[in-house]
Amino acid sequence: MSENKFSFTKGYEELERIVADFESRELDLEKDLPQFERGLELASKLQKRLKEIENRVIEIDKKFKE
Amino acid sequence: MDKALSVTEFVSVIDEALIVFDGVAVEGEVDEFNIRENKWVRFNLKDKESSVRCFMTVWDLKTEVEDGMMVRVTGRPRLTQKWGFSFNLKSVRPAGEGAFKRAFELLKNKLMAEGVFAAERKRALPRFPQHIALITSREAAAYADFLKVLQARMGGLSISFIHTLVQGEDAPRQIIEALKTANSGLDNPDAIVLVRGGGSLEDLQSFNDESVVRAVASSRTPIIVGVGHERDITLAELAADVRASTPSNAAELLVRSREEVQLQVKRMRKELVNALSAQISTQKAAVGEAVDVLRQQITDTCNAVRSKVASLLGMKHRLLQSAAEARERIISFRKVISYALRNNWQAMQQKIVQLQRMLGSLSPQQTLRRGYSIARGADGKILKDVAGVAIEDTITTQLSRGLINSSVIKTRKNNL
Repeated sequence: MSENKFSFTKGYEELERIVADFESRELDLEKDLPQFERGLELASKLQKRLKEIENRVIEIDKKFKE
Repeated sequence: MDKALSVTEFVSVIDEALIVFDGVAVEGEVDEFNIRENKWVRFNLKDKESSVRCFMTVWDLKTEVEDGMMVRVTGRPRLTQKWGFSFNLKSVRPAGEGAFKRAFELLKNKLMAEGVFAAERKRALPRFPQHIALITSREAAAYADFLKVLQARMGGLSISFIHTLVQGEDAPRQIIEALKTANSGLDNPDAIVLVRGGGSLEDLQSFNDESVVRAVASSRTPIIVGVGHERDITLAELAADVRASTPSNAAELLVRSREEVQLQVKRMRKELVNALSAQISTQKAAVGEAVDVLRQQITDTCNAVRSKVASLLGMKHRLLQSAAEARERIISFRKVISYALRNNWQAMQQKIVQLQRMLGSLSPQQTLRRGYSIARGADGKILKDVAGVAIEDTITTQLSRGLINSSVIKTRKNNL
């Protein structure tokens, strides 16, 4: 649960940072290629995650004392 | 009945007898409402003919009350030495729509003045909540509506559901407990969702309960509250970070649709690829340009060398030509000079001969030959004046051929 949350939000934000970085400056093909590949990897991970259909509902067993 | 009770006993007996009325509910109008020492609540409950003194603690007072408000109270009637007959209250709540409305307005104004609803207190919901704490009644349509819309928008989410009553006496306490659990008893949910269906102001009382409203306002986790239909606005909604118009709307506000996020991810991916391709074309163009520049430079250099060679060849040719010309001129000069020299020599030869002749004609020998002679004194000097000659001086006369020594006999100044 927390792993999912970590990877999606962090992954999305990291991808945003890479895109913003790439758009803000001149690229160095050699040096920036790893970042580019990282961006593609994040995009496909996020897209894979978005293909999940079901939500998981867990009822918290909470007895209210009268 | 022989034995009479003392007054104290009488009061005590009657007070005990009144216990049968414990929990009785009475409706009436509030009059002379006041709170002492922030602890004790006192007012009179009255109708057209009667009035009863009421006491309670502020902790049991769960609603805003003011004079003239119709309330329904429950409690236990008491008869005491000190206060006489009074009604010790356990609960007070507005009676009727008008009173509910008034209590609602009073609490709203109070909390607003405290800044509980202030916009600057509100936090943004997380962009991609993955773990959501849902608080509502299992039986409520709100529960199903929220989950349905959530499912339609996004999958892979974890929902921790905490069931509570959402109306009735015990609902506020359960909601507050659930909020506590969501804030500290779960694995850090990204957001809390508190929803219920619409209803009358009385039905919505638990969402207008002061403790519930304060618990919502002080939630550590960002919280979204949504109730029934849009016309029902509760104070809990106003206190939430985000207010949803309905439970379905809560799902819409909380979670972006997968299509939207997919589109964003796709767009970012495209931007990445574009940025890189743009850079590749730029570099390709730069390389092409550099090759062009090099090619041009090489061509320019070749041309420069070629024209230099051509000009050197021209220069060599010109030099050779002028050398030849010079040679010819030297030859011709030499001819002229030798010719000139030769001519000049002959003329000089002739002149010398002429001068020799001239000299010859001027020599004394020649003069002597023509019959002239030269007389000299004793000292050998040529005589030119008779004054230098004395009588009997010996003089020598030179002829063309031979000498004559003579002695002077006579001198004369004139030739004749």
